[in-house]
Amino acid sequence: MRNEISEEYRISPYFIIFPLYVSMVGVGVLTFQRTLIEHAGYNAWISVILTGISIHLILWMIYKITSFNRVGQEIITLNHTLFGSVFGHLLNAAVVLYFVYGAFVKFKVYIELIEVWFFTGMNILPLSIVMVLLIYYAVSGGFRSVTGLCVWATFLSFASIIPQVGLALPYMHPLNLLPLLNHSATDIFLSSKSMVFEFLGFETLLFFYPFIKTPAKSQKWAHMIVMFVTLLYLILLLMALMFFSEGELRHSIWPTIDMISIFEVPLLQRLEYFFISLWFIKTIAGICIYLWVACRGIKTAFRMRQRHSLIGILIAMVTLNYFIADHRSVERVSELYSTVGFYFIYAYIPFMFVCVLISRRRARHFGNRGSA
Amino acid sequence: MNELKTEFTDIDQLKKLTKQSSDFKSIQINTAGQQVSVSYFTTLIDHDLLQSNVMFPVQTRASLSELCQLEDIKESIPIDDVEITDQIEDIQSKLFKGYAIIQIDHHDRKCAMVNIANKEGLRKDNNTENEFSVVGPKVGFIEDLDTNIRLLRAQINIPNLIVKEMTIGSASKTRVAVIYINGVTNEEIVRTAQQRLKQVDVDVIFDSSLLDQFISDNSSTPFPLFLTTERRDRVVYALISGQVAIISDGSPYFVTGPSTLFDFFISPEDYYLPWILGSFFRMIRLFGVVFSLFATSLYIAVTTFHYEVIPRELLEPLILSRKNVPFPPLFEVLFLEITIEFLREAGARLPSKIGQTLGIVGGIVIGQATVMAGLTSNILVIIVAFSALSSFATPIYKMSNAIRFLRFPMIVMSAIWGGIGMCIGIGFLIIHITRLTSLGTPYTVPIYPFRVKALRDGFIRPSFQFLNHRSPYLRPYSLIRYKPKPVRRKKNDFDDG
Amino acid sequence: MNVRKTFLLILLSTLISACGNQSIVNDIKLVQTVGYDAVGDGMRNASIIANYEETGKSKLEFYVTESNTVYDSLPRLQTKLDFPIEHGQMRMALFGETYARRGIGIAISTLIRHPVISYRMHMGVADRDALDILNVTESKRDPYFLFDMIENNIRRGNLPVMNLHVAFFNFFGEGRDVFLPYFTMERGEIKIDGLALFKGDKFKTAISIRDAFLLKMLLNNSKNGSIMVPIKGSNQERADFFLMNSLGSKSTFKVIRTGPPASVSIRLKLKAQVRDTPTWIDLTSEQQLASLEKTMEAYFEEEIQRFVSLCKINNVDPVGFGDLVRSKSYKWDARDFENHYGALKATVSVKVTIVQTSAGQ
Repeated sequence: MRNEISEEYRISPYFIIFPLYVSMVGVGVLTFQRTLIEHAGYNAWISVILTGISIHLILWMIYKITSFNRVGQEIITLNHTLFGSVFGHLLNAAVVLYFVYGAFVKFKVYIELIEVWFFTGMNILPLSIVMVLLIYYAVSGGFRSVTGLCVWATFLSFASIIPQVGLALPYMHPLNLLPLLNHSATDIFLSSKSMVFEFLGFETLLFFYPFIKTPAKSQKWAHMIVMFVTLLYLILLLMALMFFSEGELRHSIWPTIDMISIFEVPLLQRLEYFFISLWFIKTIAGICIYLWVACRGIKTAFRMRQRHSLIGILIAMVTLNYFIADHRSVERVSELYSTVGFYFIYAYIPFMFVCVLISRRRARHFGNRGSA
Repeated sequence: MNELKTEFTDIDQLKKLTKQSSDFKSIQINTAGQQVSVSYFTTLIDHDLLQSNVMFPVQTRASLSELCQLEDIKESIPIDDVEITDQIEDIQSKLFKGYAIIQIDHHDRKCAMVNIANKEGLRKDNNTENEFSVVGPKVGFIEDLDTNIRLLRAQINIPNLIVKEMTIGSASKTRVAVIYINGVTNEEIVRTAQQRLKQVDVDVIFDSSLLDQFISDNSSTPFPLFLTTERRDRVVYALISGQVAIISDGSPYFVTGPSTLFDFFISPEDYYLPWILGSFFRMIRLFGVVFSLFATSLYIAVTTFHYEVIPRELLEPLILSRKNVPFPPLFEVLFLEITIEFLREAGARLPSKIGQTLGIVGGIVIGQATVMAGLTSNILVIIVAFSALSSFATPIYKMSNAIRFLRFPMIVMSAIWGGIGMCIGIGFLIIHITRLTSLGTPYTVPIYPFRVKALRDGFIRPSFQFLNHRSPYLRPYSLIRYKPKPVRRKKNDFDDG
Repeated sequence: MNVRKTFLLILLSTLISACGNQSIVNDIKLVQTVGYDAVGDGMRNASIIANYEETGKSKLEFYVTESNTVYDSLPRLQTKLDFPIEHGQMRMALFGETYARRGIGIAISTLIRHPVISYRMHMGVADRDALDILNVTESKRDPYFLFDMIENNIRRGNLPVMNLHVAFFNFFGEGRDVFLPYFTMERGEIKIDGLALFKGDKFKTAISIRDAFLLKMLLNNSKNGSIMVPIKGSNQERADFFLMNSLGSKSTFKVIRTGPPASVSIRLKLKAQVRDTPTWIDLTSEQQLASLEKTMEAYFEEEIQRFVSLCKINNVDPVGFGDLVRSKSYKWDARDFENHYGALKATVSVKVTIVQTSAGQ
């Protein structure tokens, strides 16, 4: 079904940290603190750690699934071999749709951010068209071009996050974190569930796994980057918790940006405008990964040329973006995505894991009998 | 270990390697029972001397069968510097200084070295004109291929330097040379370059820059994909680090490749200064690039959209300077930027004395007058002048042109959507450069694909102790250039032994 | 290459048709300082907009609008102006006393909802109508006069660190109350006269600039603050004063009992410089210095106790005792704590170190 990917298009194992980082850390990083404390309050940092650990587990499962046979398998082919043609196609369509939807959510949320901070009430259509053209230019360069963009995006996003950690130190109120553990386990788990949304994106690995040279070696790097992202979220959350009082945090829509707005550097009085602009490149890179994954999926599953499917998806994105305009529907859209993503991660991937285990055992069983 | 120190046991081995170069010639004179061979580098010798003082006597005397021993040559050739030797090191070093080897019996280990080196032929003034440096040699190339190769051989004095010639141009039949170092440069790069050159079908080759465009991986990009230089030290550095150099006859410019984006911001001077200063100047240069790319578009973005960003101390001067300007910032900026481009273009066309005067007069008068007339704000004049200045800090002219050109799309984007527009521009730029390749090597190499080792000589110029590696992305056959000097052990205390 | 051509065509046509909301810096009116006053049932909004004419000769323009609520003031202001109004450079909001007593909640919630407003902005309370104070700044020709004044007093004077974020922190946080600088007039000049303490969003009471120093010591490092300390010689009837300059301080709070009523211990370490003393004190003598330190310790302990009880009487909590107790108790209720706030017990111990640096004895 799938022809071998030529060496030229593959990336080194350690390189997957860039696409993984970019696809996980999205616009959510600017706003997740507020949704997170809805349930667990100031104990929400425990939820971040819990979610991080569970993501490690899922990641481990992904590696087990993809290394199903020796060549390295992506999920589309696997669906096909495990569930046959009809169910396989249905599942593949659903998976691809999930990624397209994810890309759209990233796109929409960032455009909303621009509308709030930069251009209130502007006609957003031209901007979205130009963004889509940019995405087309990046994705049409293939996986290497997308990962290249990811590398730059990673560096730029580090450059915008790391100074923040240092600059915010004098405004911290460590007392905010106390008392420890005054929320029930249910609250903490509910917060953990909403935290999953921030980690969505690492499942793109299911698709670009065959694009890694010696894929097995990349597992250590994948775990490392998940750990790093967990740490990043933890630091940003703790900073926000110590920076804002609980009531203030509930009022702050973009806590990470609000935190930046307290700093002043010479020549730039409001750092957050700079920050949001730089974040654009990060967002575009994230969308590109998702769309590349979706187009690749469509190609392997339905034999459609990537260029055509990409153009189709992009047109759909612009149109949808034009019609979903108000904040409430944006929230609904992203909530739906977060629920679907939750089940994708905690239901679909373990399910696949079990299926792969069973089929492998059966294969071995038959193999033994055959030789006997 | 340094693999360039090749050991030869006899002349035949030496010849075998040097024969790969197309400027090496070996002439056989066959007479009754005797074989006289004369070998030399055509680019290094004086042809008149060769013909009248070597070939003529040797041929006449050989035909008379009077040449039996090497000693006879000494008598028959009217040149005083003739040495008979079998020391291979001696032969090798003299061969590259412009001596001819004369062997009488092919299998004789001994041979006569005749000095027919070309001492003249350089253009009167072969100083570098466009790539000037304060420290370091000022030797540049001229419009003659043979002289240029001689200049190169004067600095790379080993037989591994291979020159492959070919003829390109259906009308001009220009000689084009591909030069590389055997045992260092990856054959695949050489093959790609040669293959692309062979496919070039053009009537006249005016300059190497033409070849550059014909063989580049992507012709629709403002970025130069090959480094073009007239400095000898630059070409030698490129060769020694495993790149290929291409030159056409009649052009003083070498094209070296595969190049990366960062190569264009390296000046040879970085290596002639102590590493701290070299790194500092390199960083200044990189900052200049960033500044000249984004300064004016940032001005537009801030004054048109993001007034919040202006520090309140700067609010008053900024508003005051723009008070009487009737245009939006976009037109103001375009007006000034295009003026600067006019000045540059006019200055380049005029004789240098007039060009300078015109530049100064034009710059001052126009700048002053536009501010007085209220067409532009004086802060903008400063910014534009600064960014023009910093764009010229880029050592390679083609690159600084690209940067000046790229300012204009950035300006337009920032005038449409401010900071977001700028980032859209940056996004297009980033994707564009990650998609570029130079002779198949990614253009943005130490960043993407990310190579920590190659990054060492990217933003800073490290001390020579750390510079002994060749860049791995060129896939050279030998990675190490030299052994770093042993690290002196730290003393235990201030005054201990 | 058709794709490339269409690509460029779409790009160009979009760019031509598109343009963001421009607000060119010299074609907008930047509101830099606002004042809120209560007038009858409604309120009066005064906006200061600098009109930059020549270097150093900016003219301040006052636009006063009256309306029922804060929300209405913007459209009303627009009817008086020739260019669009922008609030992104607003750095100061001053509340008149009556307005502050009525409640600044609406004003605060409008401020937090506007992302263009910087978290570095300052707010203040005037002891009369805000407009009266603002009128004085006209002669200063600086729209940021009050802002710079507060910044200067935070850095070099007795005011604790504050800005819009700190105010939000205290306003929305539980177990804390807002404090803002308090302005008055003296001989036709504006003067920071201490702090205005709020309960919820309502102005409750004002404290002097000396008490502001105490609060500064309790909340942050009190570097550069100064205060006059009374001292009595052994055979003196009237106390003399000497000036103490803080070089740095650190306060540690400990919750002894979460209550109710709660009990808190405050430990304060202060490094001070003493320069101008009555002539009978010899600063070179170790003994005298030690006794001076003792005097200061006793004085500050007493003063802080007085300050805490002042807070308790007015039922305001600028120090954040409530928050402190919350951090130590598993179940904490703001109302419950407030009811027993009057019975809060605070033990204070101060350790003063005099760093002698005075040159020219």
